Amino acid sequence: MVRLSLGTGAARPHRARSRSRRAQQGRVQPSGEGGPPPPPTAVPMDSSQQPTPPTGGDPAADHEAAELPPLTVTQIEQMKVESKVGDIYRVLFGAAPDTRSVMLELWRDEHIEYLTKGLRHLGPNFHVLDANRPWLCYWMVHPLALLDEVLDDDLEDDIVDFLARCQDKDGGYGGGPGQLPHLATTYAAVNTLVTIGSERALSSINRDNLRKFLLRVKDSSGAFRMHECGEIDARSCYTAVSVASLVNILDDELAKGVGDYIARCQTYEGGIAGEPYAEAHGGYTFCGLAALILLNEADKLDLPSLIEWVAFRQGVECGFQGRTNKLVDGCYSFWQGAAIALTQKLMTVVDEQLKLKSCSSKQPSGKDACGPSSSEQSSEKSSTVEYAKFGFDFIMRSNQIGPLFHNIALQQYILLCAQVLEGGLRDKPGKNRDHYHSCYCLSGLSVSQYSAMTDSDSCPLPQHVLGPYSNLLEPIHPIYNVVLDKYHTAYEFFSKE
Amino acid sequence: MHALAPPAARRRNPYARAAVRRRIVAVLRPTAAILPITERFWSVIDHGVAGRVARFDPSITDEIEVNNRPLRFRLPLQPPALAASAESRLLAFSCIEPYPRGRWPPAARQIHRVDLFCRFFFSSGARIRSTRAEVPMEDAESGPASWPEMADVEPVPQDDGPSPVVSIEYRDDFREVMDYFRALYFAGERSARALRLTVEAIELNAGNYTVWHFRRLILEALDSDLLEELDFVNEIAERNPKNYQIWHHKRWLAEKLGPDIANNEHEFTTKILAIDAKNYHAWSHRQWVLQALGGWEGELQYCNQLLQEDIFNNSAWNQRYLVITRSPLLGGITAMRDSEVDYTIEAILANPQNESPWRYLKGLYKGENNLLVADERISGVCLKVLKNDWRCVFALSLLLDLLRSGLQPSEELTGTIEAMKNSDPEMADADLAMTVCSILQKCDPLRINYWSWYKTTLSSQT
Repeated sequence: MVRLSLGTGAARPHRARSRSRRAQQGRVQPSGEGGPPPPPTAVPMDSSQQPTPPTGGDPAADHEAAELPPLTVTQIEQMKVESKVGDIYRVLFGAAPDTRSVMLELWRDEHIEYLTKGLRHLGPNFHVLDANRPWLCYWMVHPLALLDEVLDDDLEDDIVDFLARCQDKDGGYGGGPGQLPHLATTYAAVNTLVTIGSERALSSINRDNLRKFLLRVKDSSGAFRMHECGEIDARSCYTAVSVASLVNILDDELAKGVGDYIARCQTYEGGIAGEPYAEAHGGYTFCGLAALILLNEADKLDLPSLIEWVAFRQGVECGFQGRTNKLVDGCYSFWQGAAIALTQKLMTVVDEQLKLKSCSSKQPSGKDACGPSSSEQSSEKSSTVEYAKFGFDFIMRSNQIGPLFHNIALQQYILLCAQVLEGGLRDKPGKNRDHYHSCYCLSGLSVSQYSAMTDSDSCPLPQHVLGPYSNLLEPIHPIYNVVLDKYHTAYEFFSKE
Repeated sequence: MHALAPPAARRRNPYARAAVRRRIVAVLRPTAAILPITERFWSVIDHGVAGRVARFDPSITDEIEVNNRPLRFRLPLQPPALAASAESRLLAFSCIEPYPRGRWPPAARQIHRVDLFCRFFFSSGARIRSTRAEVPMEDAESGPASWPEMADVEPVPQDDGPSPVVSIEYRDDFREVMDYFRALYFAGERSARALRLTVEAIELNAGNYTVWHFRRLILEALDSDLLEELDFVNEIAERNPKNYQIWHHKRWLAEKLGPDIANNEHEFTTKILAIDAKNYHAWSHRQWVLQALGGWEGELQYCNQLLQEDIFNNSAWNQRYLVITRSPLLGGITAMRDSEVDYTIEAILANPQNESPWRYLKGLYKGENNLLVADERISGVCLKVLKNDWRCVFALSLLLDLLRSGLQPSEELTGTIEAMKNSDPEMADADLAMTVCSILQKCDPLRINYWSWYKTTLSSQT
């Protein structure tokens, strides 16, 4: 999180005092109501009770001779966003409780209209997404499913037909009819078909060819290329593994080496990058973690470090940022929110890793001072691993702890700052809406609503849902990002061998 | 007070400048009646100095709606109170636009000010239209249908089916180019005319990976001049700096061109990073070039320079980590650790609220918890920062990690932590780590769930 210091903008070696001031002060503290379960209180932007003792003069006073160094680009950008978001929150905190409840409404009808309209027809400016049409399908079909909206049968059939045309004769899906098959569009197409969920949709996926496609794009390093001779990164690993796991074609040959590649992508910060040594990034963190869970190799990551990094990505704006010192963005509500939500079910691994860490630091001499390690269970792996089961077992597991991020604050950001009056959701106030952000903001909203429950599909209590209870969305499977019911349907369908 | 007097403007005090601006706007506001004329006047000046001046993106509105009531975001017209609240200080900066890199030419600065003025004038929403020119398509008037070399080609329409979904309303030129593209692509042609066609297709949609893939096949088949290709793709990359396909194409080219092209590539990424110092693709490419083709010589200095310009730039810190650990010219992390710790601590003390150096500091000791605990400078910097600002979350968090890893705190440190307890009966625990964790639960309420869980991991250890 960026706490802005209006002091120095550049490193200065011999400064006598460091000035650190918060650029924003929260004003109204929301009061909790007494009586029956109080509605979740909205989080003030900066809930420090007392300001820091002033360490220097007041920079606003003209008569101060102190010369302020220029603010850096990061600080300026952050201030602009904070002020926009602050304006919105100030209105919220100044309002009466009933008004607050109305303000925190999810505008379902508007979003449904925006999404459904796009499913049939998109304006000419969408030509920049001409190679991403399965993504467009997914970005519309998935949030509609989250909003529990049923599509017309004709529309569903048409989507299935369209995606069948995008399917390459040798396996995989391209960005449009006749385009080269690509892992990302394959992922989007498969997820869309799973979300539609009909027998016709699921059987339209040519699994044998898909497997051949995945083998074609598998690289010698173990990772996958996005398309023939395409780029390799954590995204490609995730899309490949997710698709393979969903349609139950994941096996040792496909899984070999992926885990090690992703483990190398974890950076010193704790998050995961696109490639080894790149910067830790929310999108890739989700991709890496989700892929490793599907391979049952989550212990290859340093999970405590990852959890800490993701937890610190939630900033004063209450939403998540993608990278350290960058700006908040609604889509990271899913990428970061789901990543940290996944760790809630990995607590046994986390605890073991913490134990190992503390052992090694307190007893440097003893190598095996900590007793049996977790590698024992991996040696008991059977010869034929049922990879698809990992995704299933994971979601059936209970949450071992509550949410590690502030789920109410995240919901606050999405409902207040990400929603657009005309329907759809956006990155942040000041940006335009688009389908991508509509999809991932709503997915993030769903994740945060269900994060406090022990089981993945049990109904959240009213105190976990910000705003009226009608804001509740459908639960998702956070690894694949498809609605949970649809996942179960697909799982049953593809397990029938 | 906040006079309009020149002395305020002479000092490099941005608050004074903002106060001056507000005063001027307040005076000029009544002249808004001649709005149309002034708008035209300013836009003419604007157009006059077009080009590389970064401009406030007109697609970004400054109105936010909450419950049908538009909330306008604009400066207050009255000067801020003397005892400036954080709010007014923040709003004082709201007029500052992001500038890409340091020194603009004076004319550009002037235009920038003009731009700002007009925004204040037109707080009702009118604004100067973007002067970003549309890149004209080569032979804009004639698509491939009119090219003589395409006379024998039968265009292939897109097979969207009888009732299409997510159907895009293609413009005629787009449709025409893609129909011809499909014809040549399906036929597997590798010719000069196919190459020319891919240029058109790329200009229309630089994200079409199929076109890029086809282009690569043709370039290989025709054994084309790859340096020319590099110029071509660089020009497109400057216009689309966040496009995966373009950067992948650059990587493919660089791989073929070999180590000789390394400097060229570094110059290019420097150029892109000068506009957006955190462009993920540019950094990935730069890192790949370093590791595959070399050019490490000036890299640490480059990181220094970027951090001087913006100490908050996490990408630069990350790059620093790469250089420290992987540069063949330096000794590796063990050799560099000492000097890096000093550098990082300097950065922390200058800006304790900057998260990047804190993470970097921890990163320097990744996997070496004993060394982290043993290095007195680490606990030293925590103490120093906390003495100045006992609520600094990053300092508390690092301290907590140290304590959990077995740090034996000095008396001074113990004393400081005890003082932070504020005689809170809840924090009567003897354990220092628990105390710090409790403090964090109070100081960092956004992460209350995280710190509560952290506390449970502490108690399970003891």
